[in-house]
Amino acid sequence: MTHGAAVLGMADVRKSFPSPAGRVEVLRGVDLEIRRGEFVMVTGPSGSGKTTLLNLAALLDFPTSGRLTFQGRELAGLAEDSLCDLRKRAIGVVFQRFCLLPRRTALENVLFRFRYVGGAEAETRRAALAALDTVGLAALADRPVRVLSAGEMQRVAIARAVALRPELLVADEPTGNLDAASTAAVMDCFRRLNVEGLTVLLVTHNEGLLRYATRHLVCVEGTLNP
Amino acid sequence: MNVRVAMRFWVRDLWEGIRSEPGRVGLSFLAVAIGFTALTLLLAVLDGLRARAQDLVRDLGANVIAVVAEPQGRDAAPVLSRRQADRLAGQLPECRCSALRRYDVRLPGDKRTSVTVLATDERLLPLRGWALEAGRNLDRRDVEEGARHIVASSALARRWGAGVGGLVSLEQVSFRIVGIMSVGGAGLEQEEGHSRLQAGELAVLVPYSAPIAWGDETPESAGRADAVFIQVPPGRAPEDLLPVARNLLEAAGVSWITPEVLLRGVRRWQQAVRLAGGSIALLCLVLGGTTLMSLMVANVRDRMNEIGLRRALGATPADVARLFTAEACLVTGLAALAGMLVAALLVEVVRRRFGVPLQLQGATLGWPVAAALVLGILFSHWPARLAARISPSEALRNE
Ligand SMILES: Nc1ncnc2c1ncn2[C@@H]1O[C@H](COP(=O)(O)OP(=O)(O)OP(=O)(O)O)[C@@H](O)[C@H]1O
Ligand SMILES: [Mg+2]
Repeated sequence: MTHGAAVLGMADVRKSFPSPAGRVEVLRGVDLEIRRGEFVMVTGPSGSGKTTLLNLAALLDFPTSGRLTFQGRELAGLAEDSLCDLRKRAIGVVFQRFCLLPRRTALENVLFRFRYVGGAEAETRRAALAALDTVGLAALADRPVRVLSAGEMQRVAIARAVALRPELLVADEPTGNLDAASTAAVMDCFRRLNVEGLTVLLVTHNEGLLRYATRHLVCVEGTLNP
Repeated sequence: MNVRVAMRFWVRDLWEGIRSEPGRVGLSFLAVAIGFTALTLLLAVLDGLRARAQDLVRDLGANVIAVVAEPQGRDAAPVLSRRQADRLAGQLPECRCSALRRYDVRLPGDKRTSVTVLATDERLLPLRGWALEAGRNLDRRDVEEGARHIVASSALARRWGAGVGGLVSLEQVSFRIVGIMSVGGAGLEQEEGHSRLQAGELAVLVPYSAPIAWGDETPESAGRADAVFIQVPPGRAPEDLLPVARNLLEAAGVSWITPEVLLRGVRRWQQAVRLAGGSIALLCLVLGGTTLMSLMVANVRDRMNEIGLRRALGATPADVARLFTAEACLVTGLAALAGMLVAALLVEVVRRRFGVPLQLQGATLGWPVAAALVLGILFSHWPARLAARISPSEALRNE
């Protein structure tokens, strides 16, 4: 399988956090290049820095040192506003615990993707419904999300993440709270989206999911190994 | 962004925001509403005082200076005379001057009520701003001929059961009613020290030249006046003319009453209320605002995930701050409305039950609304800034 242009690049990326006992080095020189169409899966022991890595990939945090590039653009010099613009459209994030708005319906949750983007009403609605259709939940569009099953909730969250057709989909243990059947349904969604061309970076503890990936990396003590 | 879509997002966000923590929002609402009740009550008291001040000035007559003789013994030489008033009128041609002598006359068969008889000329009624309800005012001829004509207050005419043209008798002298007037409100009556200015409900105007049986005139007191009124032309302040008039009249043993003097008492009250009531209302509002602020800080901590989600979806720190500020303004705005409503009810009850002259004017209610916005913005500043400064990764850490 061949892949396209580089979406995300990390070169000697380090990340440390202040702590009472001095700075803790969490990422210690990560080199990574993710190309368009890849499905990269990261596993590794707890506390090894996977979530820290994903936060950087989702442009939710900055590296302490090293080069982080998105679509070839160096992020270090980017203003807050441009960073927000990238988050609005270019990146989709899926969380372990879904992060849905419980009082809203599935459709409204997907529409929330447009909260800071805007767009014409009919158009956003169409895009949201299409996204729900992609994850197989078009029939549940008007259900409040709090009555959905965990698997369905995570699929709503995936629909929200992809409703604007992002460049990169980042997911941190998206099946961590799901049973086997739901896990399979959610992973099928990821695979379908990946086959359609979406680039995916996914962290999991579940070795059984590795068959979905096109590349597998292991995070150990703040470094990434094949 | 499409305005309708944006509006819908905002309404939804605000609605959910204030419902997310109903207990806290309710508590903030209550605290702020109490502050606004206090503020609105203060405004009602101030409005009432302002209305009272206007009443007082209206009762005196617009732009009027009153010169009132201080009480003195029957046989003392008069301190004020009609001649002085006439001379003053000649010296101040731009002003309207009128003098009056005042008698209290008992109604036949009713020993307790007395009628205020004001012996004067045709200029008093327009000068004091009393309205003619029917018939006519006294005129020059009435005064020159000493006609037995009177203008009666409407209350008195009602009591007599007589209208214009009717004949009535005062101490066995009969008079013809030529006009019916409504004398100024009871405003001056309540003001201490100015009781000699008031006409009372039951009053008549008679020409000073009319033969009157009840007068206690001695040769010395003939032509004496109890009060002289000077009306300054529009555009000039009575206070400015005061020194000139004082010089010209050269009268001792009189008090000079101007709108300014009348308002002095009310002004003192206004000042006291503004200071005392104002600080109480301000304290209540600050207390409410502080409650709102502390509960909002707790809210921000509880809504970390939501903040993180918004940031992950591209919200700028300013977007996040705006959300919390808008929620705070919504709470303070609604609290202001509730506070005003409660205060309006209280004002109504107090006015009806206790006759306290509280009043709420529509325009005054703009203040609480403006204060609500200021309060919302001011006291949400810190929580909103707190929310805006949380980094997205940190907000999502315990997701
Ligand atoms: N903001 C922070 N401040 C201080 N320490 C942090 C911060 N974020 C992460 N860490 C530390 O960095 C280390 C790696 O955390 P991270 O969440 O990336 O691990 P992880 O690989 O995702 O683990 P898990 O599999 O349990 O989710 C941990 O020891 C954590 O305590
Ligand atoms: Mg993690």
